[in-house]
Amino acid sequence: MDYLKPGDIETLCLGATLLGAGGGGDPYVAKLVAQQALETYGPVRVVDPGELPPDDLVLTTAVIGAPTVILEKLPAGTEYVGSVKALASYLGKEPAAIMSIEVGGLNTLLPIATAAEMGLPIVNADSMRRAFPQIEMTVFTLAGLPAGPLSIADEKGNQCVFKTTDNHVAESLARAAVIQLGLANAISCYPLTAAQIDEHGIHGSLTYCNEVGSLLEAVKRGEEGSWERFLTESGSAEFFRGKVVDLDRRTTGGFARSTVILEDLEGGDSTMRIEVQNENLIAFLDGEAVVTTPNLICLLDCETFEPITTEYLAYGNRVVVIGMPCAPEWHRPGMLELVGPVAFGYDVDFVDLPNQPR
Amino acid sequence: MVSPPAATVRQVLASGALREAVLIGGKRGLDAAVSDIVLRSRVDARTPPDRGAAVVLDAARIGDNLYQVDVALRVISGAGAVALIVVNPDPEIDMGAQRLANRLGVPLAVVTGADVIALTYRLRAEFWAPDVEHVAEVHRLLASLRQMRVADPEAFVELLSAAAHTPVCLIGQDRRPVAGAGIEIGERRLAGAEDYLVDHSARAALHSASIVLAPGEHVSYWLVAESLRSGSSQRLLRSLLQVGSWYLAALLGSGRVRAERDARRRIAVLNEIMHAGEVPERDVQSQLVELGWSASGWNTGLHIKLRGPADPGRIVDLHAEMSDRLAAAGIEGPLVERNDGWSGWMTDAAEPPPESYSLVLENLDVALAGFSAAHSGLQAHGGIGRPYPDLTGLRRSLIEAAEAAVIANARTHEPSGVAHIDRLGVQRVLLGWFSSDDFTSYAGSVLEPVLEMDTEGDLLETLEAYLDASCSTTGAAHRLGVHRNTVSNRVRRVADVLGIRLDDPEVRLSLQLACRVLRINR
Repeated sequence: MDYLKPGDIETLCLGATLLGAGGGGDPYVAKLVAQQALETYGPVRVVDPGELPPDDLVLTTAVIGAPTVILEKLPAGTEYVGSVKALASYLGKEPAAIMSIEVGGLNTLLPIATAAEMGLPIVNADSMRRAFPQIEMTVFTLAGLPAGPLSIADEKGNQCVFKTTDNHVAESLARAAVIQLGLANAISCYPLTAAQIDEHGIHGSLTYCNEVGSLLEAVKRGEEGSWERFLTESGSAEFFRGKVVDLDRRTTGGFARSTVILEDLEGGDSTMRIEVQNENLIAFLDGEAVVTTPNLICLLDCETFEPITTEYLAYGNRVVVIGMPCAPEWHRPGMLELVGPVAFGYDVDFVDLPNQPR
Repeated sequence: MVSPPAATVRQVLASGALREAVLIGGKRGLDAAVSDIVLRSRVDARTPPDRGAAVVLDAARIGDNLYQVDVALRVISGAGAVALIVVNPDPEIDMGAQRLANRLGVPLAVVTGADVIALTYRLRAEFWAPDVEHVAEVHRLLASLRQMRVADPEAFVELLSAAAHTPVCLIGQDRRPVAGAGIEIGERRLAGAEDYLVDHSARAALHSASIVLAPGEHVSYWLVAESLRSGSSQRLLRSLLQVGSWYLAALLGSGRVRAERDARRRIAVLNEIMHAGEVPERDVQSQLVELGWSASGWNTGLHIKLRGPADPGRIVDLHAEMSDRLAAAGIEGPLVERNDGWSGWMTDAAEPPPESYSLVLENLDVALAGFSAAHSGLQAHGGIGRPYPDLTGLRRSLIEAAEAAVIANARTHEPSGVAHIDRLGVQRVLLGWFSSDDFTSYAGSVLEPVLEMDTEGDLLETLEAYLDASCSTTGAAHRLGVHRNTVSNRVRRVADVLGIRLDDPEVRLSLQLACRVLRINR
């Protein structure tokens, strides 16, 4: 994967939806935006962080806001480049490449469009290799790297830059700005050097996203043995096949929370409960936690194997529930406090997946 | 905690405190027994509830983390707890928890708008009410026992009956009542090594608590009672009978200790009398005085040989009774426990005339007959020696009495009998045979072929009866209560198996002796 062309986006989009683990925003619009940008500005070069000169500046861009608003308020297209330029201008240094902060959901694809528009390469790395709802939930935070200074931009040309003292403050300030700017804005944060990303980032995120997308495409085409291959190659495990019998959506503490109850499709009396805060965070099988964050809990349609995001989930959906391993870079001291069940207010212990994480 | 109340989840959910509760899942587990009711603000694998517990969960701390209800159900099921009552859940318990409750068979009930502390308090009060009464009843019994100074079995049994609201009876080893209203035991089982047993073979359950004074001994007494009533009153009966049996065991045990201490002193003195000459007479005399005994004058020794299930412990237990029976029959004097029964003597200032021997003999006979009649399975045979003067005379008379007792035991099939050494005459010749270990083992080997085929003991008994009846089949048949053909048939079988001829007088004499020795030593 040396260059990204418009034809690569479909597979990447499927992988990104899967890695969104039920959240991360629906990447459909982002897919169109990325495809359009690649067609207009030409292919984008994909570089590993180690390939760049160590002191080169890499900037990120992403959508920040409420998934429900993002669904309806289409991006104007100018805000993402705007956020990058605002931050570059504050730092007084031009970026050498663009990176996705979150390979999972629509934030996988938007930076590709930005890179195309700015004529910059995209770095094959990120800080989550899944979707998480908050700015500080990155492997960079585990490494002690700051999220700030950071910039926020809207589609009208409003921009602001925050200099912050820690990543939790960065999250609160950005959140406060977004509330004023319409709840669907562009953010550029974690301005890092190529060397910092090479040392602390999650490597090969785009490649991984493309791989799982392509494995899943084979499943969708109904190829012989493709499901088993998908599970094996991605280090995932199937936990349940069930029908949605209860779906409770509620908003508490500023989070869109929901609970999904699945009954066994095979007619057994087992029940799966999935607790959701933007992303699927914990899966309980008959009262026992079987998959917990930061490992990924993904729901796929039983027939089409299309990953289903939480906002599209409905009563009667027949789904396969899989647990996917989180990126190995997460397994560092501080992981559980930052992104484990307890970080989301669940009184549940972290559970390892039965397979070795890939 | 007392033993767990016999309440099921169904009964707990039906109690007044849970009138507003709605059962939403896990009906399958409604008949599980509840051991306790506990209040929890969370239930997880680190703090599982006890087995049998019904858990009241305060949902205030759960909020919308309804997965905690699932986790609680799973932990409850895994720990063997039996129900989950969720108080004030908000939002409502969802289908996931209901389905899990059904799957695990853990009843899941919901109460809304309740004060969780007040509800749990009331629920526990209702749940434990029978046990509170139970404990109060036991406590009352303990208080009454503390006030009961004298070990009066009748008063004791009356006390237990009043507490249990049903007649309680103290029965002895022969299953006959010692105190309290008679309860028809019949063939029903009584507690043995296990200290408590309930026999359900009849309509009313028969509860029995055994009283064993020392490890390895037979059961001395049982406290028994019948109950037709419900589980909780049966539980109360059990507690009362057990407390009662422990109380009695302690009481009888201390009595036994006192009796054995006295017996040891008596036996020590008797040993010195029997070894008169080796111990200075002055020392023996002073010990006799300490016990309130005397050997100055003419001493008539007597010996009582006890057979049947009577270990030395039992002989100590029966000592007071035997002493009373002898006194009642006019035989006053020291009585000392021996391994096989008792030794005793009477002291007269002047030499008793031979005419008085028969009176003593009759009196002892009456006492022993009364004793045997009162203790089925026990046989008591007495021997009386001639009167001799002073300590050395006493020793001689006691030896004669012991010999006479052996003869008395050997010559009769009756459960009691008495022999006077003076009346034995030629029978004394037999004494050597009866008390010889060598001859006993010889007799055993001679008659071994008969003993092997004679599992019921009929052949030997018939042979002895036949020889005793001067080889008359009619006489033996009359004594044994069988047809004379049976007698002649059995005698022929014995002769065949031993390969002997019974018309040989030598053979008859040795067989008769062998039979006698085997019987008394068996």
